[in-house]
Amino acid sequence: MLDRAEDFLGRVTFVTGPEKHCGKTTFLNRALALVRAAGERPAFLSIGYDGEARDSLSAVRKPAVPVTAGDVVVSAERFLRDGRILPEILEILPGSSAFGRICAARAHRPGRVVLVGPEGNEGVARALALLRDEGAARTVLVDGAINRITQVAAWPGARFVFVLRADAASLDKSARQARRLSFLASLPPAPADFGSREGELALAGPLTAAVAETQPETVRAVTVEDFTKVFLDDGELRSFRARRVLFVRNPLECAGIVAVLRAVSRDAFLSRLDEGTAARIAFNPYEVFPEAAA
Amino acid sequence: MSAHRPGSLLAPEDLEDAWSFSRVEEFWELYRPYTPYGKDERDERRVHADRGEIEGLLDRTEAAASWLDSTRDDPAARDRAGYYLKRMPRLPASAKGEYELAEIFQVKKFLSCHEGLRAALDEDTREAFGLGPAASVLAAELAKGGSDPETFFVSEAYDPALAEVRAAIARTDADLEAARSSAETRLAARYGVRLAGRDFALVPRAQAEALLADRDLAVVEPYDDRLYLVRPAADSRTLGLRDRRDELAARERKLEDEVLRRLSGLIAGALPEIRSAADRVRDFDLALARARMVRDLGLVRPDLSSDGLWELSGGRFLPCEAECRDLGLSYTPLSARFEKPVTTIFGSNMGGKTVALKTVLFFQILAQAGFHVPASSFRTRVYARLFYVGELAGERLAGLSGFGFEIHRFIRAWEGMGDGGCLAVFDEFARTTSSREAEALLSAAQAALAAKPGVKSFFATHFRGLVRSPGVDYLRMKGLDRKAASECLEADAPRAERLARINRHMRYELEPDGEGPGPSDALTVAALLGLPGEIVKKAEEVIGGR
Repeated sequence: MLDRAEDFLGRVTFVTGPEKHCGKTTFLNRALALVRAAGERPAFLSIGYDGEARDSLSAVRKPAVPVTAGDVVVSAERFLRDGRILPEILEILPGSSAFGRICAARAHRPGRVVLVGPEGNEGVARALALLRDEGAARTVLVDGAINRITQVAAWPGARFVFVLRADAASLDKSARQARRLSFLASLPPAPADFGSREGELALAGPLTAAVAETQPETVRAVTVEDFTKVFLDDGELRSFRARRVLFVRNPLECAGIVAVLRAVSRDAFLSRLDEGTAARIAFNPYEVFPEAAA
Repeated sequence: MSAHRPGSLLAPEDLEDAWSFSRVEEFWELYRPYTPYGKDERDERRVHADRGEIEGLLDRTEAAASWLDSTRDDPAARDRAGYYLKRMPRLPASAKGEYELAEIFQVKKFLSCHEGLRAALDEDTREAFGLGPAASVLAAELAKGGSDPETFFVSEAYDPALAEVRAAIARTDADLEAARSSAETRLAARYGVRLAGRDFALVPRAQAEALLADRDLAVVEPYDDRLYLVRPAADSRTLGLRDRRDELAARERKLEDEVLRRLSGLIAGALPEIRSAADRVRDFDLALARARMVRDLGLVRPDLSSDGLWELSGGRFLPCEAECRDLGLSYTPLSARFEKPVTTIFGSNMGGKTVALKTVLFFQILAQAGFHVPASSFRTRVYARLFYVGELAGERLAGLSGFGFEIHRFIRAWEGMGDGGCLAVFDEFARTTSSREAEALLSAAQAALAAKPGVKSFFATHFRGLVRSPGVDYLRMKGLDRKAASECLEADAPRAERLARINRHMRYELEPDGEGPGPSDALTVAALLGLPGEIVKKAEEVIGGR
């Protein structure tokens, strides 16, 4: 899973993660390579500027993103030129960044570009609309912001990949994150006629412990805008679900969870997951198991 | 972008209350130009004090409307014009020696869209808006850079030396790729490590340890206790190729910068012409946006030739009309002729006198903003100032502090009534004080305003004890059609239903107001709703006895 071009072709995919240095950008590079190998020229952008210096997939200094001739890249003009990709400017995005104007450009030759992109849901939606309106690319990858899965909602039909790392010290915490995300991403969409029956409540804001506690017993079903609006810990969520059904008005599709393990075995990680979560797990795509040498 | 002589626009701070009271913003939201320059000017919310400028705007709207009509059988032409207007980019803000790549792109895209727009229009429209060719020499030069008329890069067409250096870069890139590919192949062949497009791989310790001895082929670093990170080592040839590529890239950058400087010089020289073309595009864009409103909303050109008469026929106050539509109520357009310097409008609560005032300001602001208006006809003059004095939405003026606010607003308007004429609207002025004091203040203010040359003022009030002045027109809202309301009331209908029926028989029209107490809608409504007859009768006697 998530190591085939088909996982990304013809889609908008956001690569997100719970923290810095979790390996988002290196995973993005791998996904881009797969798409190119399938004969497509992708478009890609980041949300804002990620000052992350090192990457957990490689633990080495984080590279600028490799670009191939024909790719469409969104970044500041200076980074596009410094990337030696011979950029052909296709459009200038509204607004500006600390690094100047942000442009969409088609690369005329290979190079490496540091990505700087629009901030916020609206900026991302405008950038994606622009790439679509200009017919720039069929496949788009977005180096998402840390812990901002809600930005996936900026584009209908977009999916997200969640990259998380786990080492011996953080194994239980990472497994918990994976379980929780998997569960939330599985919340069913609200029926079209939700709210027409007694005991159905559409929450405009987040579902917090305080909000959950103050709901009368008569409330049997609740919707939230999307799963990122659920702020209950595992115990609170279990207790909530024992009494009520939880729906989302805006489902966000999870393409998979990439587990970047360090000093932890795959079995050790998988043993901490339920079946549904385990089915969503892909491991570090840079792990290679050598075949017999010639 | 466009210059206006000082004083030709109404000061936003003077206009703010009038704008808010008259709900012009709701009309403004329908005003949708396509270009960034059109949107910028729209957002300035300009209201003009110069009749010539307003007539110019109205003329341009009509020219654009004629073009719209002429494309009725050729909607594709309309679509093409809209397409190019929507794609117009912003332009560099200032002339400078060196423009960035993105700025040159903006100029190229503008010139391309400008030409596309021109091609979508007919000769008469191009001429009416001065949309002639722009910076043709520059456009031809910029056309060399880009695979599309609207994209830009520094192509080899600008300098043969660029072609040479880029060919050398391409060869070096190919050599580097061959070296990388060869290393990848050897890694796979010797150790079974297939990178498959990856920059590096994480390999189990056992296999990686074998690679440690082959330092010319791979760099191997520990990743954790079970994996090693493996990436192809750069041999001396590869390092040499990278250095070569760096050198070539530096040379290329220098050549590119020279091209950009040369193009920048051409742009700087043509910038006045480009700016002027952008101004004309903006004028067409704004006129087209206004023309769409003329057609969609059924607007007519205001007549600004009056020397003081304010006359409206079939005037639709669009925000109120929309509200009535949403509530399923009928809306009565306003027809009125205000000849005297001051007009007083009496009426019962909810009788429509405030809406009449809003309508006056709504039409006056639209006309001075250069818009056609939603009416059968509208005649007025241009005023240098437009004021509103009264309560604003969300405000609740009451008590002494409320009175202070009212007087402060009155003084501000009074002091602002300088040259060039002024139209001022007073809604329930002096509402915050007693009726005796309010009537005295209103009477004195109206007499003073009637004597001020060039001032046209409108008052809505429920205080009927005004001292009448010769320079003041006294009108009232017709209010309840008592006969129709009585006829439709069924004695056993629920009270809410009876109230709704009464509402349907309110007449939002103006009629002359004679002196005396006038009819009381409140007592009539009370009677219709079943207030005991003796109370109603006694109340009528009290009014009649005053």
